[in-house]
Amino acid sequence: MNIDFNKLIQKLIPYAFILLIAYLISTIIFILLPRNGVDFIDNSTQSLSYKKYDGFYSNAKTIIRKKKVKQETLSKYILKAIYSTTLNSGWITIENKQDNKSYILSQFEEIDGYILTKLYKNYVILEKQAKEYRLDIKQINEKVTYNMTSNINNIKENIFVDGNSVIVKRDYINSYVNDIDKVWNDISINEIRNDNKIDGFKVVRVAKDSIFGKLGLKKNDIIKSINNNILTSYSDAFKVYNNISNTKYLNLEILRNNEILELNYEID
Amino acid sequence: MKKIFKLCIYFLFFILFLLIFLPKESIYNLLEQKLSQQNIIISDEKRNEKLLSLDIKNANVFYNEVKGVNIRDINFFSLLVYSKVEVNDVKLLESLSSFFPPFIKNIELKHSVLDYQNINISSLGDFGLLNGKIDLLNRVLILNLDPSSEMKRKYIKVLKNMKLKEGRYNYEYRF
Repeated sequence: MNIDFNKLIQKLIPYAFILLIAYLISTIIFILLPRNGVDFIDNSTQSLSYKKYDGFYSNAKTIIRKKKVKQETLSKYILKAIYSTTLNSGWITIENKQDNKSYILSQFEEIDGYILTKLYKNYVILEKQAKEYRLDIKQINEKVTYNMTSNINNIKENIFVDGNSVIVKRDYINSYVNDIDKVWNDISINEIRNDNKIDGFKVVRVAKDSIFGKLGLKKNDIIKSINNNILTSYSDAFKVYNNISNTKYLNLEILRNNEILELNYEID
Repeated sequence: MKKIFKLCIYFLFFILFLLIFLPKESIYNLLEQKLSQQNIIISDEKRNEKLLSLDIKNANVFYNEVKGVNIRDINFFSLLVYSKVEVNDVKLLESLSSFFPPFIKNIELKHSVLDYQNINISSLGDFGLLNGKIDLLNRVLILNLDPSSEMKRKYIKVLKNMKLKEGRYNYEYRF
């Protein structure tokens, strides 16, 4: 069989042109279209628990450790209450053991030559003749340990208070994670808007016997952040809900009576 | 007549070559960018460009930075006159299982020039059997659901958003 190559080429040439035009158009489309897609980048600090503790990889400023000044304790006073601000200022209630009289001291005020210089959450520093004296709050010295346990519908509702730390059993939290209706039965929240942007969530209703009530949330509290994630959208709140099973601690920043409070819990 | 027939053949070949050379991955990139404007991000997927289709495997879908869905396999196929998108094995995040059944076995979207006005939808999953269409001219999404017993038992709240008619649940959404 003889093949007439000239005729065959003549017949194929139009198809070659068509192929070339199609290829050119595809190339132009390729140039015009984006080269890269969109990938999700997790900006959340949810799983970065070390950030909270200023760990090695965090963006936190380097901690400059000052040489510790030896502090002596004061035995003749009882520290009964501290009202301290974040700047280590504020006032205290102090009782003299000898005459059982109580005094209110604000920062830099003096009692028997001792000047109140710094206030912390659990103790204060007083200074006398360039020497520092530490006075711990009475209740903190006595370690408070108790637990609240009840058994409802085969779910152990455990919250342990051990000194300064509050430990919540994971099973108790999971009973809420696995049943969203239970969450909405026990708490109602509304968004708070500032300049059309969400600026926290207000607790409108909270059941006292629920996990939320037991952990200290009250009506009219405004939840500003959870685990250092500022709540500016429903998705921020949902992110916390989603990641709760991987979280080992809970840190709530709430606004109550125009004061910012922090609630810290460990999840066991 | 012969000339017109020849032109038609040339045109069909042109369309075929164009579909083969079309940068499918770049078109998919454009789709991802458009979806990201609606805060929907498809991430971590593996892409495989074929002669006339594009395969996407193991995609995680995020909405408002929250992971919602994992999809095992998506297939885009088009011959211009007939297009099909097939989505297989959609797993909803466990925490969403209290809102909606967590597993969808298959979702199919089909469009044909013979029925140019509608994109047909069919789906099968833990929720039951779903059929419907997107009416492109009237801009309406119509869904008809035959719910499974699990759906009727556990997700009555979802069904309350639909209208019950002759044993089937109907849903309409205008966009």
